Amino acid sequence: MKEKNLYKIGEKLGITETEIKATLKRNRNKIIAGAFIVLAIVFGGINAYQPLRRPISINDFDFFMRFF
Amino acid sequence: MFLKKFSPKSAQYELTLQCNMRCIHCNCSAGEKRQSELTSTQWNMITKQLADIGCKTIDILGGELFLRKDWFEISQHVKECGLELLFVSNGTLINEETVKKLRELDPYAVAISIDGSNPSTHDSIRGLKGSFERCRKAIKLLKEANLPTTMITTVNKKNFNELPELRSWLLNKGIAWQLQMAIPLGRFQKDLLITKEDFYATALFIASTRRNYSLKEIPIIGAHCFGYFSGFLPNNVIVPNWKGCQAGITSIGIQSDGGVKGCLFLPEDFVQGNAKESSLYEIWNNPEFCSYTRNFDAGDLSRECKKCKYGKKCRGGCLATSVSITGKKFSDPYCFKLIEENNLKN
Repeated sequence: MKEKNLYKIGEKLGITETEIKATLKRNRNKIIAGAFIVLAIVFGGINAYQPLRRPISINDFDFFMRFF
Repeated sequence: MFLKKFSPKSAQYELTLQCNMRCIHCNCSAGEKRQSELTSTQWNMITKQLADIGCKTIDILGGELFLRKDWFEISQHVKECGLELLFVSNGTLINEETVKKLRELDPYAVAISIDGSNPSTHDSIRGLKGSFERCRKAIKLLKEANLPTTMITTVNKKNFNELPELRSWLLNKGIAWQLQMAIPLGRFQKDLLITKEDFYATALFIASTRRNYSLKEIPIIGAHCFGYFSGFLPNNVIVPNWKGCQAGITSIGIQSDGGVKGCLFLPEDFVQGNAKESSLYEIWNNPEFCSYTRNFDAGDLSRECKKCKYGKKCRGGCLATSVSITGKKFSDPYCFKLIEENNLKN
């Protein structure tokens, strides 16, 4: 479906193009949020994927072994 | 084991079929009473049985519920059984005395139907002159009494264009607004059914209102018929997590003559048992009861829903809409995904 069709449909109830654009769900926001989290992890030094530096990391092999 | 899987979270009571209005969209053709309607003792027994099998809320509808002189007594028993109450009325019989009683009952919502932004549209749809003013007065009384008030608008071709005006009227009044689509059941004629494009426009209207106004300014919601699986409209706008028709799974409907259905809005031929003859425990636990939803299989889907990737989860949308429009179960054509794919493609 093309977005311009939505604008035409929206006109029936007086919904403007701007209002429709603001309403539609966008994956762009999710991508931006995802990128922001990745950057925060990288630059913030919160590296969950370095098991040896985090004794209780679930990626740490010892973490699983302690239950045996 | 059966009970654990299916427990009626909510029940709808058609307290009476008697009504002082003759709405063009009435799905049960309300007007005259049914033959041998349930007595208050029978309703109270039903309430007790529902509470015993785990029901949490009772929606009291009609006809017009306030035409029954024992409405308060029946509702009071619902509260005594520890269940939540909701009333759906046409609003014309609500006065100071009714509001006082409603306050005593502490319902979680009182819903009044308004189907037009002006007396001419509303009165012509509802078949009662002067009802527009009476309904607005009822809403005012309910609000003044601090009762949680909802306005229900059933959208058809006659009032579709008036939605923006209705919104302007409701703004900042603290009244919730539920929009639902009129479907060709009972008295409603198919030629007044909104088109799929208008249906989509209504959903867009709900979504954009939610986006552009705060819930404090106007708490708007689409009924469950406003679904499903749109690629454009946000999921949380209409039905947050649609899992298919809930008839016989979490919902049960009881007609004023004792007839039991999975959902009160399903046509008469979905009645499976009578509360006068068997207990609700027996009816609910009968493996045949609502087997169409309880034992649903993706192979039950019909028409375009058959090849839909969401078919198994969506179960073909609203069953009442599907049956009333297509004559088949599990193929609601008023579906966002379908409309986006077929009607709005070019």
